[in-house]
Amino acid sequence: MTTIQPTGIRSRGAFGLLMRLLIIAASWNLGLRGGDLRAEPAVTEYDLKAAFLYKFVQFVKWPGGGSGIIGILGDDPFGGKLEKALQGRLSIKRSRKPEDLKTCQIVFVAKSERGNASGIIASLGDAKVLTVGESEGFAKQGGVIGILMDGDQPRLEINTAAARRAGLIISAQLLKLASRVFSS
Amino acid sequence: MELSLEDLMQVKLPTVTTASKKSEKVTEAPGMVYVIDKNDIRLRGYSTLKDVLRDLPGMELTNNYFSELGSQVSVRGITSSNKIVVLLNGMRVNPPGGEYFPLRSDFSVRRAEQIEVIYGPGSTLYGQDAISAVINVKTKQPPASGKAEIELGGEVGVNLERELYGSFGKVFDTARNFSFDGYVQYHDSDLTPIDTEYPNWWQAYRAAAAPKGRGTTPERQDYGLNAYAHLQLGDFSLQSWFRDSRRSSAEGYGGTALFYVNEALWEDRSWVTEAKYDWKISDKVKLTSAVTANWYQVDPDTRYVESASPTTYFLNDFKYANGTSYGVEETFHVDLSKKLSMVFGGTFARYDIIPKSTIPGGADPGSDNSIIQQGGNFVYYTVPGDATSRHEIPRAVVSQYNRYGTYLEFGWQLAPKLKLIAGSRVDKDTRISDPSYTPRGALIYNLTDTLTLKYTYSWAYISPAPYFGFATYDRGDILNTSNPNLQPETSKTHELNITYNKKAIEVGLSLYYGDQENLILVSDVASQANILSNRVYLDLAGTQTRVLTNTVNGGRSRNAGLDFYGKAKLNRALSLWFSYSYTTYEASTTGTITGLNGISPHNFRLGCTWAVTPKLFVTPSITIRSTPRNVDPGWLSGELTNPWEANLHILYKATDKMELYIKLQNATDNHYALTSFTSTANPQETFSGVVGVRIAF
Repeated sequence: MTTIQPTGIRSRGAFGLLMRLLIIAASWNLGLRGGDLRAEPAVTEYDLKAAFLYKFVQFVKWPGGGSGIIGILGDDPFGGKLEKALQGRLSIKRSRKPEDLKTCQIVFVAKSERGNASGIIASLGDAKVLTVGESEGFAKQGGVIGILMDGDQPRLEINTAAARRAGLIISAQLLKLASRVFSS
Repeated sequence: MELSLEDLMQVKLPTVTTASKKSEKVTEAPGMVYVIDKNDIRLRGYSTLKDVLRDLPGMELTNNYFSELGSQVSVRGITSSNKIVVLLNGMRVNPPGGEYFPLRSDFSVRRAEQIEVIYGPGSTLYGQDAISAVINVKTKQPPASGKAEIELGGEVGVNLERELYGSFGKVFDTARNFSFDGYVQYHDSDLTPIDTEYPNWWQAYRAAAAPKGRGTTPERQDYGLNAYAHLQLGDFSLQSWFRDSRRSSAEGYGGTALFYVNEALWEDRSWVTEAKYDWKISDKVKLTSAVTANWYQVDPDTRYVESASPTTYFLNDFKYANGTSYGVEETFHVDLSKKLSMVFGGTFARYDIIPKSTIPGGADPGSDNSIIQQGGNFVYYTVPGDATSRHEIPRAVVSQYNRYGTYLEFGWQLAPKLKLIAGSRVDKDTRISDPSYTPRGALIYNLTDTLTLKYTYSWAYISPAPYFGFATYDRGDILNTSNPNLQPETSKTHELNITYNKKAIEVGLSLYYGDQENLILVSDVASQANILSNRVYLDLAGTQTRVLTNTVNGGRSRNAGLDFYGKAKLNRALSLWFSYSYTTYEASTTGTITGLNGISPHNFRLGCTWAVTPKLFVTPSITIRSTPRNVDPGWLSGELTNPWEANLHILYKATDKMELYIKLQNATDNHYALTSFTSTANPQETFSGVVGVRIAF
């Protein structure tokens, strides 16, 4: 049996010592790290995909340099996130017809267009467009880059043959990150 | 997002892992999944797990419900903290003997990265007792940069409340994935002075205690200690979690049966350790092996203080418990194809439990005499004056048993927008002849990119806990004996969940209907089914009578209701969360129909965070309940009507290195009451406030 101390006496000594240590620590300038508080949700799938689209501009070469326009084909899933990622550095064009987006540098094929990758590629014809899709099998079906989600992490599939047909040169650094590369 | 390509490839999106034992988006997980992240924790000022639960949709937390469990949690109308499974980074930390999960001030969430709450039955993957929710507290990983992360904090406030906490994390070798992290948190408070705050309610205590010379002023305390450590080396991890808490053993009992004197305390502790190895056999097959040791003890100093006579206290009602379990679990994760995945596992656990026992004079675990010998027997007679009618009930027992289980669940993407989840589990407990089957099926349909519809049908069961089956005690009115033949209580639940996620808005609605059978009717309620004999005698002369009871199976209950919940970011500086829950519950036992067990049918919560400046965050919140059902109001009828509470948390980032905060719980000093263990209205904490500082190295 232990003797029970009155409430509040038991640990005040240790508490006081620790409080003093806290104050001493707080008074040192030890390069403390700032918090990352937000009053908003965390990074979403489309924050990430928007960031990828902007990065692709830096790691793909277009004949003539590209038009500086990113097209979104189908229902826009970004909800303003693409504008936020681009910060005015590229413009955005939305359409439900591939033909309207032939002048774009990149065409993002939204999930709403799933199952029609081949038709979309055909409609874009010989336009110098980097097609980016988010549906399973997009690159295999003739799109240039597929951004797929494996649970909580992204995965890239790249079709180099489709890139060649569009006259695009994909950097080795980007190719190295692809989980699958289709060359024919 | 100015990250390199390589960094982008490493970004992990907010996902959950608890619902299916694999990483998936909330909208892809079966059932209703609710997530509290590290920002919610800091902006709302959560310190311990019970702070989090009181703000969750569908849950109702009753503070000071009973010393043995601390706060009671009801989930969707089903009351009882032994019907939830609580995990820490996937490691089960419920006490091994099936005791109520202790919700006091000894489960820190200060270092939590994310808390995942899976509503409804979870037995298919988690086995026994996952009746109403599975809660997984996931701690932060150390920074991948290799920089040491140290955080220290402390707070002080009214009622002598004080808390200190610190955490550490560092990756020592990135290539070898060698890291260490952990935390310690200490909490203590004298709690609300209930004699002065609720004088009418306290007057009966005062009158009963005054002739005894002390006890007219309540001796309350809320001590909690929690420590955690995690070592990662490659694919091997070792994590260990310890908690210890102490409260007055008079908390929540109502009436004047137990007294708030210095000797009256309840203290218990847990220590859970897990070693785990993840073996990536191929790109498509992973095997996770885990070995877990779980220990729970009720401190030998624990005792209830009752009245021995009008002028004296009875100080010899000591309690003790000591239980351990050792378990292994093997889990295969297999991607059979791009559209079909499988989780397959097997478990074995050995239990060695001394459930809560009465030990006159207090237990001495180091003694040569076993706890069973120290406990001795309760004696009773069925016929006064007839020595041959003598019976003995051992005060302490040792319950040893094994449990085996296996589970298999498939996730099948039937169509681009439609996913099927189907699985089942079977558990065999060596105390029980029939195995327990707990299947689960779910259909998840993405109506649009923003709307998801889920239907889930799932079974669960509660394993008969030695805590209930072997609870033997003399309460003054009843004498409770053991029942080693308790059977599992089962639950079957239908749930329809629809969620809308677009931009900065997340809204969900769940409709549920549950059916529970073969209820474990705990002896404390002394319902007709619990009564073995209306009159037995503690002495041969027959002057001390008791009702003889035990815990039994019987009856059926149903719960149904809805949870409507959401979060939204209204503009750059303002975000809010809300929930409204409605629940009904009806139990039918031995011809008696009862309703909600001391809780409210309607619950509403609203809170927001206003980023006044980039450095100042103000988070007010309010919880309103309708009047709890089936509660004896006693002296607290006014306080029991539509109980509500308003809270305020203000966080100021003084520098990049330091945060200051003020937390005002029950900021309006509202006096209100909720139910207690005896279904009598129990006063809740009035205003409490702390100021704190947190620094990070």
